[in-house]
Amino acid sequence: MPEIILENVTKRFDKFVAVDNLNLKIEDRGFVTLLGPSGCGKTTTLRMIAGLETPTTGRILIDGQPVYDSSKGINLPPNKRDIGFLFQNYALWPHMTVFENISFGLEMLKWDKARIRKRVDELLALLRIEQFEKRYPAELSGGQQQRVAIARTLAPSPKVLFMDEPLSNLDAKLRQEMRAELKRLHSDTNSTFVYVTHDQLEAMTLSTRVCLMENGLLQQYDPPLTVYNKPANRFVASFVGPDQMIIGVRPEFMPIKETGQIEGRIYSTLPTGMETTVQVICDGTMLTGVVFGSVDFPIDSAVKLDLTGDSLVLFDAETGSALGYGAVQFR
Amino acid sequence: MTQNYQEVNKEPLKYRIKAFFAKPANILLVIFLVTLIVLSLIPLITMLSNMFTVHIGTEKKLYRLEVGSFTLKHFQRLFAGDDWSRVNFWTPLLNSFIVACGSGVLGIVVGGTVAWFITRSDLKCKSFISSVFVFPYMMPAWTLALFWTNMFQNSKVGGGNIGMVESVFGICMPEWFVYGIFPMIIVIGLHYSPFAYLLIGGILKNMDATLEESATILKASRWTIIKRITVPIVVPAILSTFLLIFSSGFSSYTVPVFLGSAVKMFTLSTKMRALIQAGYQGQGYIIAFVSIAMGCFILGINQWFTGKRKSFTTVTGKSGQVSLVKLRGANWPISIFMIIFTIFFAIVPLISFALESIIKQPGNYSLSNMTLDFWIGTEGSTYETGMISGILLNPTMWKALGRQVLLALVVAMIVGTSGMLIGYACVQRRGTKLSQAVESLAFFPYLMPAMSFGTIYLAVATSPSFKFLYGTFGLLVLVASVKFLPFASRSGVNSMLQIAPEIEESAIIFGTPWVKRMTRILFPIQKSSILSGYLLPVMSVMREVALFTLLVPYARYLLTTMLFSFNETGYAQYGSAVTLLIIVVIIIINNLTNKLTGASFDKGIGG
Repeated sequence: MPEIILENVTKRFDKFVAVDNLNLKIEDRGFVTLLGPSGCGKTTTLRMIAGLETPTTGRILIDGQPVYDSSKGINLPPNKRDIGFLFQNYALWPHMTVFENISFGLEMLKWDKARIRKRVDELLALLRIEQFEKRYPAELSGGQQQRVAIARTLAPSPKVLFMDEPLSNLDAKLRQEMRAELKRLHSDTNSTFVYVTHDQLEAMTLSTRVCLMENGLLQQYDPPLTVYNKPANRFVASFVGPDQMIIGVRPEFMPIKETGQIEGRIYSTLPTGMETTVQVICDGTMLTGVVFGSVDFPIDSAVKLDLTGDSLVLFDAETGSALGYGAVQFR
Repeated sequence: MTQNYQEVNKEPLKYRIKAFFAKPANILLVIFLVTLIVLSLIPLITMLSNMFTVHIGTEKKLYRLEVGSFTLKHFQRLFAGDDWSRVNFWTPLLNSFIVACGSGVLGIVVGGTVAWFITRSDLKCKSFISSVFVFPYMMPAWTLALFWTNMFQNSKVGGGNIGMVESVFGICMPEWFVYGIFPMIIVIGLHYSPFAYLLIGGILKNMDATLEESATILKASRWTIIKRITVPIVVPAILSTFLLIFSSGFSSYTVPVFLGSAVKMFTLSTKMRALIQAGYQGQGYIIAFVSIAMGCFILGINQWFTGKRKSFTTVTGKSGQVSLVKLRGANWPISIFMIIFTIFFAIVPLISFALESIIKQPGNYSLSNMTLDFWIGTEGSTYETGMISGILLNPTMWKALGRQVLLALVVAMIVGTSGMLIGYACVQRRGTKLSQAVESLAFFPYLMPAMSFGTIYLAVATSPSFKFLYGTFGLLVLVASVKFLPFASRSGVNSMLQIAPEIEESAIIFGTPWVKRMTRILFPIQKSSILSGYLLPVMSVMREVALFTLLVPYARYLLTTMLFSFNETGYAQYGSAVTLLIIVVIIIINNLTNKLTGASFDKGIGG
């Protein structure tokens, strides 16, 4: 069973530490996202597991098999690791048709023609791109290219599939569609997915576990709802969630109502129709709340708000790490 | 930027014209349109008509026809298929063709191989190899030809001068090795191989690494990846590089002069000049026309080819690091071979020129045979030098150098400024017919081989109405300015395209007048590319021969044409000395360019 284990993996570029002593266990058939701001080391981590990048020190096991071990000098090339890799820009070969792109990996496995044909047809159908078989990548739209890239990656049925921000080049609507498709694909293919993204919404909605990184350091590795509700520190809290979590309160636990205990002044509102995100200044501090339904407030009007819920987070002012979770009562 | 829709303007014509010329870009475009038509189409038409007229001298005597009368005799003689036509057209045509093909292939193979090693392997001493390898491209092509004869000429072939190889090793290379097609291919191929290296290397360097990585993950071997992914992706670039080298090789004039004259082997370019100088102007002009047609044809193929889907944009913003191929045991042998190879063709020629310029009797490299007389000798020197003194003390040489430098500077001013203004105006009015016309007219001279371009200007200067231009400095300025405009206007257009229109528009809103917008905003932004637009023509003029050879009033008028007259009259020492001098000037200009603009020949590829 393809379980991926990283032990004390470190990657240094000259003096810059891209990934710092990372320990990670990715369960079989998991869908793990590596999440973090750009430059946090998530792509480097993915490339190291895939074998496209060599770690400076540490050990990586795929399916119990060490693929990299700095102490034993083991370093398996990517083609020996039985993996699939979906690149951000798809990396489709411009001089090959859709069919040729998809069948390439099968040719490398020395499949016979009939078998290749059958497998490619399967994939073309799975990704609903049958009609583009003879086209060149330049003749396809971004979403279609994306599907071809997925088909090419899936063709040899890799046990582990790595994806490096595969949706970031698509427009918002298509991205939403593809997210659902990827989740479906994950359950259909029975393989382990490792997914790099800087989009917290993508990480929340897709994965079974989120690995949040900053400056090469692991911040939290938990299921998405745990990361959301019980952030390990202020960085995690502010990175995950529909809005930045400034004082340890998610916006949904800050209702605006007549009976509210805190007085404030509207700074700005962002109505979407389904809900309105409201920024309120209370005693010089900017708070973000959310009101459900189609409502809006005039700028600079006075409002009252409350703090509800029992999982407000208390952060250490100096280190930013979470001290505890609980409710607030006003006296 | 103006929108690209058809303007519907029902105002009276007077107002429309006024509105049209209210835009500075339109004024510029009209000026350039008229100038370029005069300077490139009129000469071409004059030349075409000269293909059908009888000229004074040989032609008049031979055909017994009135000077200036219409005739088809030139065509009949040149294409008849008899001995005359074979010697004067078909054989030179075939020679040009073979040389062009051979040098294209050689250039691609050498340049492509070096490019692959530099960008894709862990070769040692990359930056040294890279910078030395591109050096010959900076030198004029004939320097390698001169070097080749210096090395391999021997007592058994050609003029019988003893070269370095015979002198040191006692080996006489056979004639085919020393003169003719073989060395021409080697010299032209090697001269343009840095060009292939820069183009192919640029693509290999910028090619998205993930294209190869995804093949690796799909279990393709190193060799399979090169064969199935890397090569097919660079093939369009390789083909277009081949065509460019082919057309340069086809129209090369200087190399065949050095490597062909001694054994009476002609290519189309050398034949063109020979015919014109022998008084067969009509046939010379026909050959010029054939070369121009060939140039257009090649460029057409290239356009057609690069315009198709076949050419791939492989450059993307985000690209991973390419993992370099480990050469392991072969690394040192290959590196050492490359170092020796590049040194031999880039640095040894300079040493050889220095050496050749100080020996009295060619082929004798003993100390007693050395003298500095060719450089600093005075009138009383003991042997026949062909000049009254060594070149550094010779007023003729200094005058020629002075004229060449002056020519270079004047041409650079004209070309640089025009290129920049054409760039501005064409980008401003992009999409309009006027802008397209100016852009293609400015590029038109590129299609014409330098020798043919010189020839058509000769046709103009010898025609009755433009007699006053014949043999003047002004004619050289004109011909060089038009000939070197294509690159300047291309780079002008490209650099102006990089500036977002908002940049100028925001200045317009402040009410900044046009001249100020140019001098305070647009030019400073593209400072370095505009500067190189001024400096590149300097370099081109300093090493140009073919363009001027028919137009100078006398051979020693310019430094480069003087050098060729030395070669023709057999003063090898002076030839080497002047060559060395030209190279030094070029290196100085190049370093100046680097300092001022930060642009360098091999920047961005070298390890």
